[in-house]
Amino acid sequence: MSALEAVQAVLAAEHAAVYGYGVVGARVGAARREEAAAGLAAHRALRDAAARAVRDLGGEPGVSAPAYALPFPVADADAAVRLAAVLEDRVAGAYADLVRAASGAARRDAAAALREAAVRAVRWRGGGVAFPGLAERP
Amino acid sequence: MGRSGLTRRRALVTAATAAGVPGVLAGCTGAGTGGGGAARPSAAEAARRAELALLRRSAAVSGVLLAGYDEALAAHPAALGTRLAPLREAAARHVAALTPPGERAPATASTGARTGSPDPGAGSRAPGTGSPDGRTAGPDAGAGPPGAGTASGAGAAGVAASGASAGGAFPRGVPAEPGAALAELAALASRTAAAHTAALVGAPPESARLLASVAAAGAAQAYLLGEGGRG
Repeated sequence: MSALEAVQAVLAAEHAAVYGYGVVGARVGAARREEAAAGLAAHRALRDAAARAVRDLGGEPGVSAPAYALPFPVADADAAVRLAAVLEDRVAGAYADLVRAASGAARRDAAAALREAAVRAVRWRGGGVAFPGLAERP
Repeated sequence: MGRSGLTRRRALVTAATAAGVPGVLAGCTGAGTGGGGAARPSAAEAARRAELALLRRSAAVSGVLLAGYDEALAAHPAALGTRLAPLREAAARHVAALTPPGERAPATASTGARTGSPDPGAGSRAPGTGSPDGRTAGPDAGAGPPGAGTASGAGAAGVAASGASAGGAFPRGVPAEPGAALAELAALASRTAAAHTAALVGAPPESARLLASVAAAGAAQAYLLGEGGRG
């Protein structure tokens, strides 16, 4: 996977996260609505940064789909919390692959984004996984 | 004309290449004069060894955090057992993943600290820890009554921890108060994540990806040990 492909994958994951956090915010309930809004803002900024990184590498940034299939029905606050954690898991995977494909400042930024995604995931879930972003090490 | 220009350009490229890799040239010369040309590692072999050394160092870094979990669990099994067990398991997996295949995990305090029970072998391996009883003073320090007894217990625990721990998870011993132990573990998890983050910058691609994941896990553990674990 080239650096450009990895950044495009990050951008796609961030597009999906922005969409997903909209659903999370609508369903999560008053207690955690602020956290959902903060997550949405973070992923918008990360999405824009990823689009810039694609252009810097000479690529054309992928665009958001009009809608995304949710991994499971999100009808209540519990499901919204689970969705938020899954969204973070997915962006974590994309950033881990970008760490592998990139070097220098781009690699450091990807590692920082992976760390932040892992922390947001444990905030939502209340517990962590041993290897955030590494699907092959469940 | 074109031909001579090409030749000159090739000569310039050769010169630039030679100037750009003084280390390789020096290595050739050294091997040649030493007569050990066959023993000189190739660039690929040198890179592989550097990666193994990086992974070993990183395994040792995570080993200190693992030792910290073991020491805290030994000192506060009832208060922190449920909370720390999953984090300890993750740290153990980090050490295993970072240890190069076919090698043993780095020796850390985990081997000593987990032997809260009497273990003559562990006692004899750790000079300076005093009597084997000093080692078992760690768990008692938290359970004992406050006052002079606790102070001496904490002191013994400190000696045991420093004697058992080469990496120094708790340089002054496990705090007698579980909350203080959690705070020190949170700081240790943060330092572990920072060390892995620094190491990944110069690491080969796959190792960098693994280190980034382990660093992220460390940051998440620091959160769970600190503000995220309350309530």
